[in-house]
Amino acid sequence: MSDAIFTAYEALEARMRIVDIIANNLANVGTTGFKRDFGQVLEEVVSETETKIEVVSLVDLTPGVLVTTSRELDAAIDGPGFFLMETDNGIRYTRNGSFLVNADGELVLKDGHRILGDGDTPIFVGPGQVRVQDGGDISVDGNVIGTLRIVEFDDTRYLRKEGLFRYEWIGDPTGVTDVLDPRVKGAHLEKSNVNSVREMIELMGAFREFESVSQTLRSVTTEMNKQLLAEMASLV
Amino acid sequence: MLRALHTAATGMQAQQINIDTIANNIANINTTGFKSVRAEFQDLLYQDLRPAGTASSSSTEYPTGLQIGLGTMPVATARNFAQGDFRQTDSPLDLVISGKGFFQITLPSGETAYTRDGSFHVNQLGNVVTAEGNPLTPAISIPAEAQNVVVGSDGTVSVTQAGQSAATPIGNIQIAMFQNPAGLSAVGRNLLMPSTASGLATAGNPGTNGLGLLNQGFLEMSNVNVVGEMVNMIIAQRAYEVNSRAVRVADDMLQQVNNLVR
Repeated sequence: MSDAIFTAYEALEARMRIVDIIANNLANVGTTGFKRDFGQVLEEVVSETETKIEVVSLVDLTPGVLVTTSRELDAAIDGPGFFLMETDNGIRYTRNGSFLVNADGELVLKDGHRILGDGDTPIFVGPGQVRVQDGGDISVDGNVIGTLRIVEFDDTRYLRKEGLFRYEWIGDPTGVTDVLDPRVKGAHLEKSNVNSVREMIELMGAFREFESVSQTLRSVTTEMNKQLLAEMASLV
Repeated sequence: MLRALHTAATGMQAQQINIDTIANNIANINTTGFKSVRAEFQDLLYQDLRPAGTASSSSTEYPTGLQIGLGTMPVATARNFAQGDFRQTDSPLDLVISGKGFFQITLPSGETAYTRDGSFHVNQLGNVVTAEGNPLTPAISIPAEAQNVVVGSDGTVSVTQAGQSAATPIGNIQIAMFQNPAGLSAVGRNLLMPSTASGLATAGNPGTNGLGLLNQGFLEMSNVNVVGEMVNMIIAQRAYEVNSRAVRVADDMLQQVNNLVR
């Protein structure tokens, strides 16, 4: 009986985690370059009386819709790959291509981190009309002065979301390779790949599962209470 | 406990900021020299409940981890400095910058502010001032007896005096540009102020060092795209709605928990 309660508790806990993941996807429905997380409940039968319940999350790297903007400093990757950004903790990866030129004349992301070009060096553009060209070249007043570095990974399960639109690679360093001929599009941004209809359906599903487990749990505990009362009554 | 309530709340707050920004853009549809603003968001931090590759037993590891994100937050309200359309006014002191650059305005406090709004007037002293009365920098003063004023594309201001056929140059309008114009902070009244993010202003004659050229008798209209803003507004409203659904589901789940024991 107590095993049943514990399993039911784990099952409830798992649905809560799923709802947390869906809520985060929905909150980021308007975040440029956001990739949804896909939560899954895994049930593993350990023995006849024990079931282990786990939740795993995977990043769903399906491309988001590309929309045109009239800004020449916007870029989107039409296909696989990530932009490189320099942070205090090392190189991080991002799909957010909403760039700016900072006061020092370097190409940066909206949160001030520098974007890296070929050779992992920051891209200095200086004054002038900056444009991200299709293919990833950066031009100033029509002259190409650098190229955005775009990389991809051999196993995206080792791509850890750090938040703040950054990803960290926690796999083997040899798993990072440059994308040959990256399909970078200038004056475009990649929308979030969250589809609110799909998330709503998954949210309803998780809620109904939660509901049925909690009904079961309630009937189990009611039954136990009855037995307990009967035993106590027999002792009196 | 459920993070979903707080997570969905960050989503709703983000969409409120989005709607506020869109409403301000739409309100400024007729503001001379107005540049539309776009609210941008980033995902908040993630909780690593179990990183990928953690050992599940002595010989196996979990192939995937469990990461739960905590919502979204605004990262920037970026101004789009794309050129607005020109409107012909035939007023000699209506100026438009075609290309990069800002008019320099001296505020009563002595600070210099920057604007794309080129609708200028002459005050009682003959100085060229904005509609609010703040003088253009460097100061241009137009003699009372001047018959007409001509502003060249390079910023040269010349006037024709009564009884003379040749025009006399009386000054030069200089404009300024910034390394990062998106870093300028808007103070309202069509004025922008420099910040550490924008860098220092570099002033010069129009047409030099990448600065735009002046056109007399035109005004730059707002660059807000009404259709685009309306579409963004619908998207923002629906995103708000869907986040409020997540709040309701989280609430229902907590209610179920409360009903476990009767």
